[in-house]
Amino acid sequence: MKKSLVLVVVWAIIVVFGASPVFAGSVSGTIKLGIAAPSMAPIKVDKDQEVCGKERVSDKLILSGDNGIANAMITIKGVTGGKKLDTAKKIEFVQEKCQFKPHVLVIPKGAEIDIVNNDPITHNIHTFARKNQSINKAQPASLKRFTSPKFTEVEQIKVQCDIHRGLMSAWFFVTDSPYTVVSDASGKFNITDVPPGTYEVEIWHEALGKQTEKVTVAAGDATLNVSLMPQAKK
Amino acid sequence: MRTILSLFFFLILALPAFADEKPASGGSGNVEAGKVIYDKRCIFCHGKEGAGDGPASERFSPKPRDFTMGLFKYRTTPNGMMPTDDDLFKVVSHGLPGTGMPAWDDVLSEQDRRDVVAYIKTFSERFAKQTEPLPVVAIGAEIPSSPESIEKGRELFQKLECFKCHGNEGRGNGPSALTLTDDKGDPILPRNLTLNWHFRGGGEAKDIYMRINTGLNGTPMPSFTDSLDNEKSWHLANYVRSLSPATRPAMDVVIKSKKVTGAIPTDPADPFWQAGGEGGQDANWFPMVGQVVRHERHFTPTVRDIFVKSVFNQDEIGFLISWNDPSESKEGDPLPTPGGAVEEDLFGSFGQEEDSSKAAAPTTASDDAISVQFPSVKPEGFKKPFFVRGDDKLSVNLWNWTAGKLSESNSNGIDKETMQAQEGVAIQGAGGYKEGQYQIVLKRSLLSDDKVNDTQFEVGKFTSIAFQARDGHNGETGTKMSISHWYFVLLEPETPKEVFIYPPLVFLAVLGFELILRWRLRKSNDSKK
Amino acid sequence: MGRIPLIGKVGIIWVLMYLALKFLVSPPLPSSVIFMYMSLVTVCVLLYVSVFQDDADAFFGPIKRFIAGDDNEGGLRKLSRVVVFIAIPLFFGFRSYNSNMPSFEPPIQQRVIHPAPPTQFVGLYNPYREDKEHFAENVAAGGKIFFENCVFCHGDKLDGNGIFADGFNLRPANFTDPTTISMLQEAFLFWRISKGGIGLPEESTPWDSAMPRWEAMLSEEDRWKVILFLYDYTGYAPRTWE
Repeated sequence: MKKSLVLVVVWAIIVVFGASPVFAGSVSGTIKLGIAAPSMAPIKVDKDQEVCGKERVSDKLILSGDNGIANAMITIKGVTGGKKLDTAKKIEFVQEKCQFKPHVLVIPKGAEIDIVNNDPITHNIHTFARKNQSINKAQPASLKRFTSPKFTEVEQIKVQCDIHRGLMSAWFFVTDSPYTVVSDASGKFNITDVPPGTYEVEIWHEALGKQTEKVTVAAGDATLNVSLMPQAKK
Repeated sequence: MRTILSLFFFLILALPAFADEKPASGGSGNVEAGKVIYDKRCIFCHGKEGAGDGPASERFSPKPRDFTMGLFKYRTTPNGMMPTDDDLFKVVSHGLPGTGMPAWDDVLSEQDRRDVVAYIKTFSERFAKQTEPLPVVAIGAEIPSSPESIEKGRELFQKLECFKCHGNEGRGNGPSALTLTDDKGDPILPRNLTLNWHFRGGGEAKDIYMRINTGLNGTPMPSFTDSLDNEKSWHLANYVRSLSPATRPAMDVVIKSKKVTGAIPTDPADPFWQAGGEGGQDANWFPMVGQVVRHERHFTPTVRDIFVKSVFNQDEIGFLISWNDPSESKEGDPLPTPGGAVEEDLFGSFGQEEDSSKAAAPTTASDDAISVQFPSVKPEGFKKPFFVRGDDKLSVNLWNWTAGKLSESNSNGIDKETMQAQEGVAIQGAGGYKEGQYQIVLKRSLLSDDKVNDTQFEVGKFTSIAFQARDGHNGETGTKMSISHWYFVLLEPETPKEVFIYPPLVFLAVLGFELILRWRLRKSNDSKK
Repeated sequence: MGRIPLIGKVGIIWVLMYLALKFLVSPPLPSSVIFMYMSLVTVCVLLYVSVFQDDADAFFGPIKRFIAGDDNEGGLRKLSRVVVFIAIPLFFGFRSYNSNMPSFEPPIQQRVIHPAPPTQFVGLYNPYREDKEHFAENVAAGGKIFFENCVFCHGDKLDGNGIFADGFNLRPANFTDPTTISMLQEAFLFWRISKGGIGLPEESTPWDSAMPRWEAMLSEEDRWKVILFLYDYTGYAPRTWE
């Protein structure tokens, strides 16, 4: 008798505060460039051409055919309750053909990552961390993989290989929000298990800066399509 | 009741322990005392808030450390970690050679230095967050340097691709060298490994061992620790150490020009100039400094060392001059943008978060150059022309090698240079750039027809000599260059014949005196008997 | 004392005199002066032992016996005589070699370190010295000027060991040395800073001084302020006009 009463109360609390994933929705959409695609000359590679190639498209702005923006980071702010941060997930950060993959990597706070070199040459992975322990390690071909220290602070971190400066750069986002994703090659994203409510969504892109949108998640799924505009220079 | 009592006693016992922990943030140093010292001694470079932005920061390269970043180069802790108190104490005490950071151990007491360290640690919250004890990179049993160890180290240097930045022969001229910046975005050059007296953290194998394992936080120099064990660390350190001379060259203010019998070859690669050849003697070393005497001054010169040797025969005098430069530059060469391959401003007047406040830098290089300076006319007494390219009264004679072109000029001041007619140029020379090093031979007849503008060389006389160098990748044109002070070149006279005559005569005379004395004494002894 | 033979006493006195001249006298004497004094000592000692016949015997006796030798002496004594007989002429031969070998020492020039300033600088006062109200401010301004301009030669510690100090053959002045600014008037510093090395008289070898002519680069106010800073930082007081 007593036990069942407790269960009922717990169930009631869950219903009232809407913390149950059962009632959560997802937010999905596409990030697009709001103006015509700029013309971008390929980067001329001046070292290690046999591995890096002779020419390369800049990582700075990758657009799909219909102006979808890859590598934009989308985060829903101020979510209370909902799903837990998954710090145990295995995350790989790969160097291949003188390119970091992925270009924008979301790292849950408290997680560590595996850093992999698939190239037959030495790279150095250099993180410009100010709060987390910074990394600058040489990774010759003989050191295929190593594990980073734990990322313990929320921070946006620039990453580069100094040896291949200008070719190899990336961004780490250490986040304490499980509602942070990166847009795919066509600019699409999907954030699942969002409890109902109205939230601010922050969209960041390396070449386009930050933009904030609003989204309301009711019982079902919400759609958020965003046009990013370049910011005026200060 | 008993448990409450024991808890009470426990608390009383624990109290002093808590009390002790309070000032631990500053190690054994006192933050307040450190601030007083810092505000007098350190503030002009490192700035009031420790951001490395004091008035001196503008013109120094490398710039003073920005303590707020919490990134320190010379540590004993693993890559990315904070330095220990002792690491900071060591830098404060011994300074960083080749930078503006002096050794403070002669001015500040040990306690003063500990106090300053404690205060420096308040500028970055990273120190306060560092609650666990820091691990320290241990240096294992030493493997002494040997040809085998050096060879193994050389292989590692290749395999780990150290040459990408430091160059094939270690002169800091690798393909990635000129694109590097530190974490603040200021240009930084890989260390030239052949001049270990410029190594900031010490030039011996054990120091190199530490650097390659810890890396230099805040710079492109990574830690290689995952690819090295104790043995490999020693091999690589021994190899890097072997790239520099065994001992730092001492400065001898006189270049002794050696008499040779044959012709003087202009090719620096000629066996004549190599060890064992007629001109194979050790070179003189001279320090070079920025031209900071006349407006417009130059505070960040590339060339800080120059090596010179000289020979002469009955007609000519020749100099072999070598210096290091991470880049070969000719007028009009495109300059690499710090940051590597050119990145487009994607959206024109829109744009990125790049810092546009920095003044537009030149986009092309100028010529690399060297000048050898003599007084045009040997002045009377001790007088000399002003050491920076002469003065109004006394001019200097310059032998110039400018990206392969030879010229002669006279100068009455840094901005008053007169070129001699090209058809009258009497100097000859050759040489060039290889693996981060210039080697140039310049020679001329001992005497020339123009006794007013050309210096004349006489055997046995001291002639003043000075050097100036320019790095075309470092904006060194006009008044901007590396300069040396006046030194001397002496054409060594042949040993006078007296040297071979008098000493034996003196020897025989003294010996004869001794023998006569003995003979007389014995004679008188005999007569006494 | 009495047990030491006279020749031993003389030897000890001679060595003690040498050591005293070599190490006790400050500043150190040049070796030629030491040689002169030691010759004098030798002459005196010889005079002293020659005055009385007994002393002369005690002194010269062992020397004569050593030179002359004895028919029934040991091999060691013989050998040591041969060694001494060769060593002494070798020593003189070597001296002769040294004095005949041409010397490669560069010409050393004498220079006047603190020449008299020109008349227009005599009697000048630092206009900021008496401004007690803004003193700290002016010192800080002088410090800024020093660390933007002077630090490269005169060093972060004002000890003349800046990063470029090694490249100059007149080392930059060490302001912490008690024989520099504490012995000089501020007007002297103002002259040297304003006119630079090139403004020195000939007896002070202006061609060797890397000191810039700062009047071309710094205002008069800035030059006085930097002087204020030099004294404040080192804790010295300037000499005043008597």
